[in-house]
Amino acid sequence: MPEGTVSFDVRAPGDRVWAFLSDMRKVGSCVPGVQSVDIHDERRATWNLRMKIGPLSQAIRVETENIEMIPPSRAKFRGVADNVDMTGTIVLEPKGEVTTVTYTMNVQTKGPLARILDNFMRAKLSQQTQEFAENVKRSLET
Amino acid sequence: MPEFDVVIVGGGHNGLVTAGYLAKAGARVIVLEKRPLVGGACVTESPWPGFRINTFAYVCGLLRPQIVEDLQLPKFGYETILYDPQYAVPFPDGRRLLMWLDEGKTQEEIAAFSKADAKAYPKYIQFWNDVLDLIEPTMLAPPVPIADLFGMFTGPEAERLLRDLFLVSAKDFLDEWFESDHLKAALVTQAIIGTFNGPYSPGTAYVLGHHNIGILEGHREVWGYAKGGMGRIADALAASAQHFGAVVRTGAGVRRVLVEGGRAVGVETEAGETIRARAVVSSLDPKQTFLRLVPRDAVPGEFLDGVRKVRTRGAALKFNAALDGLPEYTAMPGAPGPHHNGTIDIIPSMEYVERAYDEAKYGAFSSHPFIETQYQSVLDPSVAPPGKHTMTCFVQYAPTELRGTTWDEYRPKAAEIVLDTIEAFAPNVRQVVKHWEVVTPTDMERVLGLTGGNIFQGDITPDQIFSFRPLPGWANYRMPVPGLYLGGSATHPGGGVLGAPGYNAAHVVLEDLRGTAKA
Repeated sequence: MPEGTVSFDVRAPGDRVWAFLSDMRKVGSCVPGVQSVDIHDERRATWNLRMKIGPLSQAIRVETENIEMIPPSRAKFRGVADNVDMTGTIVLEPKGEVTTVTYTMNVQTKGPLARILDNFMRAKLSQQTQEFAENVKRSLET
Repeated sequence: MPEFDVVIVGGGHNGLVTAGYLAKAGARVIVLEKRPLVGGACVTESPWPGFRINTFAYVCGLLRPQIVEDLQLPKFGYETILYDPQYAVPFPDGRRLLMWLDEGKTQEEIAAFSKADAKAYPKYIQFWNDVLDLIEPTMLAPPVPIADLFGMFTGPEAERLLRDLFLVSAKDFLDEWFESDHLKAALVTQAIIGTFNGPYSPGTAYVLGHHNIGILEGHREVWGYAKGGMGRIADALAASAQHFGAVVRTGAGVRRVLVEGGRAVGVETEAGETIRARAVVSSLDPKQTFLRLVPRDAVPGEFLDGVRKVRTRGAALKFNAALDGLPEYTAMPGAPGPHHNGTIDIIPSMEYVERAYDEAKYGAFSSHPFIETQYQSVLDPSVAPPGKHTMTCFVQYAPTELRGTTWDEYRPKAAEIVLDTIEAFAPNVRQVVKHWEVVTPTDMERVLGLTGGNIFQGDITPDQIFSFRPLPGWANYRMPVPGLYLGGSATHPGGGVLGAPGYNAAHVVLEDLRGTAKA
């Protein structure tokens, strides 16, 4: 199962980082490729992604659900799309004015293109998680 | 319990990749190679003392980096030399075009022919980079049904890509990108290598893509030399497989695949030895496997019909030589010059190649062939005695059968045509050639078991790729006889020294041995 993980420091206190990352619209805006987020209730949302696979651009609709929220240190969400299930985990470790964020994304592919998508996700996940980290830092530090 | 879990028929590079992965996973594996050396078409031999010649395959870059890493090939002697320029093309009008690793330098070269083309070139390179992003994940996995694959191409932009990749000719494709005939000639070589089609044939744009998937030393869309010759790749693969516990046996041709109770249970060697195993992987092409090794009554008649229809037409011959010095090209003075580092293509125009193909269509060796030449000794002195050089030429078109004669009879005439063609661009070539050999399609079939002399074990055209390879319905490496698998270049993603078919076959066999195959 493809997995990407990144650990990074944000110059912001833990409660502020938690407030940001527990807001589905805000966290969605940091996920690479997300074009818009439709909030359904406090646990569920739809991410509308556009994913680039080589020269192709695919629209993907991901139904997300927060499945674990332990303020201010840990959140876990699940996403379901046509050919992909994903699980994201965010762990916060506040250290004064700096917070260490560890973000892990697991992807389970399905359907006839599963193995190809697996290979594609393996190649792309580390880049995706890195971009997520940069987007979160940019949002919270500026 | 049989002595081995898997017996692999054929010690070509794919058979060795399969062996390496299976052995690494703990399977008891034996590879049987009929020749005295491993590698199949990926070998280096010494027809003349002191010279190491790439008899068949001649450049590397397609071998998937994951395989190099997983099988720890550098530890076993795998080393590459990335050459620069990648291509040099001398033209009859005295001009020349060099294609460098540095895109800017290549643009300067192209600008001498067309400023518009120089401007378009980076976009062209980016296009293939994007396509590589798309194709690469498909290579180390069994092929998905072509309809599912095509289903990914939705929307006008994607449909255009589908058309470009699978339906159009290389000529039409390149005409849409560029205006300079010189540049298009230089680029079209990759669309026809090893393929019995001319650049005007629909579907050849895909072949262009297949040959643009090279990755070497961090560069994409590139070629290089295997240090010491292509055989070093096979030697490294064999050493790796042995390191993980595989047995690799040479001089061990297989007479037949043993089928008992409808299941493949091993093989009988030409020496009469029976080797039993839980699975048999053939890295030979489907015609060699099913029309020669597997009992006819073990497979359905319609499957055999399909096997007979796989197109395995020879397209090329090799002209290999030992040199006293280097040929001096009129359009590219200096010997050695930078152009001697990499590939020198004799391809004056796309029309020239199409006309060369026209002759071959009707059973003749091209009177003015396309020739791709390397002088590996310039960058790798280990392959020739001091002061001497090697020359390998890949020459198209050479049809499987010649009308009115045989390749054995025609061999000296073919050599004269090759030398005449090179001489028109490098007048001293005959003075420097001391020894030569011509490796014909007949030789490739006789020595390597490549049916028809087809270097890919089957044309790489859109109707014989992905789930159509080796034939529709049988693309997932499992064959109609339970326990029998195909894992050579005849399977997805096809020919060239990729190793990907062997990788995929190994993983399918492992799933079956462990009982974890997905429905």
